[in-house]
Amino acid sequence: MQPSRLKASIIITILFLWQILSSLHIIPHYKIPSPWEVVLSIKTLTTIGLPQGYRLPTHILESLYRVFCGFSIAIVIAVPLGILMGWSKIARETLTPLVEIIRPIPPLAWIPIAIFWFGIGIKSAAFIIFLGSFFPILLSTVSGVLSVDTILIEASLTLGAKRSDIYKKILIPGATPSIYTGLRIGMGIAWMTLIAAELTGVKSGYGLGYMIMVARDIQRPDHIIAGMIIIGVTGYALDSCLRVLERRVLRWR
Amino acid sequence: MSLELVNISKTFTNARTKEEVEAVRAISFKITTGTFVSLIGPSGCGKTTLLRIISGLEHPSSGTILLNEKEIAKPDGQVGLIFQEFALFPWRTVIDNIDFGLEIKKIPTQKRKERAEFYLHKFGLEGFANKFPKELSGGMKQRVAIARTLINEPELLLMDEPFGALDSQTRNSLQEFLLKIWQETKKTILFISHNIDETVFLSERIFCLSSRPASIKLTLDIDLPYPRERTSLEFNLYRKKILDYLAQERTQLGG
Repeated sequence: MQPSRLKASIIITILFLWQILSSLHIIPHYKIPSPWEVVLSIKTLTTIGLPQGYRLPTHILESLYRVFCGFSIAIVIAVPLGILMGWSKIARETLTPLVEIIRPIPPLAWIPIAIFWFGIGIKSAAFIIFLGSFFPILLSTVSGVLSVDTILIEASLTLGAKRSDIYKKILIPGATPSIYTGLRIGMGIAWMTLIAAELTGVKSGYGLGYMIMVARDIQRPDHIIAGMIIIGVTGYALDSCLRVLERRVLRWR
Repeated sequence: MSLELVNISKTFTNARTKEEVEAVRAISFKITTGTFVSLIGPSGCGKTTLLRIISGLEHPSSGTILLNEKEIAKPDGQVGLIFQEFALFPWRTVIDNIDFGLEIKKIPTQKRKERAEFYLHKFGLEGFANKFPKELSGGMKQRVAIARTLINEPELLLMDEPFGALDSQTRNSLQEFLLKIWQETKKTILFISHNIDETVFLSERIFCLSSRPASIKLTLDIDLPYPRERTSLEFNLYRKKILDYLAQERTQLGG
């Protein structure tokens, strides 16, 4: 069987079994709704919204917007800094201890101080996302630069390259595969962090994490599961976008 | 471009053991413009170090290098270096690899693409302009690398075992190709190899180096017209001279 068919058939089989077990009441509905109930729930969430009027597409867009803000800032700071740290031994050795002290602090542990600094809203959310995705991007960029073969730098020197040429034309393209790995890891963490942030602190009327908390408050497992599936699918879609981009940019590999 | 080495020595200090390793000892020679000279010697004798010093990638511990009577300091594109590992930029297509040097010099795109096209044609790489290095055979990669260096019009071309990673068929055809390019452009070429057949086939003059620290032990002028016949008696007499010399070097080492 083709891999794509195999993948599809695994998902279909699971859904099928799940539906049967639910229909036979082997799985209690008040704990896990059936797939069909989840489909209906997604429809309700899309048309009516939760809380009422707060519709699913806007929840998704709001969550994506928060990720986009934090993630872009992380790229803009982490990539140049990573290249500097990879290129200059002094920068690397001075900054590494600082990075290694801040890195183990979970992004969620920053929520209280983030709210204190930025209040509840997009700024806090973006800040938490930024923290979550910053370190994977930074570390992958550093290791990407370090992995660039010195012979390529030497070749460029004998062809007349200056320092700035090496930076732009050798180190950045050479580190790109590793940077992409960092982006994908960073995006995954950003997405998880965001949902957790919406669950615990950074709440406004919209956001997928906030939406499933409301579903819990009104005791609707179907809405919770629907929300969780949307979170999973959206995260998968984000990663797929990066993968497509990666394949295009890194055609040379 | 003439090249003159005056008393070049190089000593490395091992960063860990602080031990000093002498790689090159008091090498002096002069190469006149347009000649093809090879350096041959036992592996690990410091040939590559010597070439890196001439290219400006490393500094000699003492001595001076004169290019057209002037001292050189840093690599500036005037001296081309060809690596055994090709060292193509994997993220650039063939044509973008070739015009790298012109891009550095900020030559307008259209003009540098024209120059690159010229080299693509000359090097039999038409149809490969938009391929990436991973899609090329070893022989093609090295042709791209040579084209990339020659587009800068260096007066002196240094080649560090450029055909060492190629199979013998490709190696032979690239040797002939290199001779053709040399005869057309009249560049000064300094070629490193440990393949005796190759050096006799290509060079006007061969410097035989001792084992580490490298110093010149024997200078041999190959007085044969081009193209050379690898199976001729004279050709093989030159080979024998070098073989005998290398055997003697080994005996002195006790190996």
